[in-house]
Amino acid sequence: MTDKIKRIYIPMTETGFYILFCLQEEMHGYGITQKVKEITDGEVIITAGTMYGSLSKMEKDGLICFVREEEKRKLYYITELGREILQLEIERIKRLYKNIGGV
Amino acid sequence: MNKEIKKEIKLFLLSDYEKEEAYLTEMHKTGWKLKNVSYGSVYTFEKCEPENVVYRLDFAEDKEKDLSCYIAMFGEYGWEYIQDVNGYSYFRKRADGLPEEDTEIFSDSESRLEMVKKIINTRLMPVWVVFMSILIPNFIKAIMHGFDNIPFHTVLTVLFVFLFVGYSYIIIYCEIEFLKLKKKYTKK
Repeated sequence: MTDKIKRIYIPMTETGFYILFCLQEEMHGYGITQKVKEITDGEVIITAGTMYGSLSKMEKDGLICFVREEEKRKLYYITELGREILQLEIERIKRLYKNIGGV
Repeated sequence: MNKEIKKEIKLFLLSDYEKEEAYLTEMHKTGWKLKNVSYGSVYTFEKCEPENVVYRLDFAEDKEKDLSCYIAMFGEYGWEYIQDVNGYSYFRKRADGLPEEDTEIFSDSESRLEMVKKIINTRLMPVWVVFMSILIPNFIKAIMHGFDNIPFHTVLTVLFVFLFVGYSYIIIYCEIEFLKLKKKYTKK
């Protein structure tokens, strides 16, 4: 993994984290918005421009890849590099949680 | 039935997209729906019922290769695509009864800042390049040789002085406005 990618993505924005987290399954942009809304009880809303921009950027940086197109919807999936970054971020969040008195 | 048409000429510079959004939203509120934009600054409207419709401009790189997917994706979020002008994509959506976050195309400050960065890199940079490599040398040349009583040279001098002033104004204005936008987004 290049240090540059690590510097850009860690720590990750909430938007970035949820997109990458969701893409452990094949999904399209709007589907991710719906899922994130659901699992955060409507607290985290990712809008169209933010979603399109984030997906393009992550694809360009090799964190996710385009899988196929279904009725004008582009499906994406996490790459190996994406998994490494996600794992690093999860460990960082766990450490944060542990240090503030969580388990 | 022919609808009533109205044309307005407005000049919005690169960094004025929020002002342009506000202008189009206001026009729709007073019963004028955007039909299209031509020559970058001629706005054609058609008469409609006054409605609360918000207009948003997005600036996405690399969307040309999958413009139909890009438009379809915004469509899923309820945005109607109007057209592309100078790299900006124009969208609108009825705002009545919608929570505020549904009337925005950006939901975090990082993506807003990312858009500013893209506009600066792909649109403002070329203006700088033209300014530095063509206008400044020609401006200096024109000033040094322009007043030698050859009419053609005088015309050129006036032209380059005019261009120099115009470009300087655009660059300074945009740089200041982009700084203000960045500051605003960073605070959010």
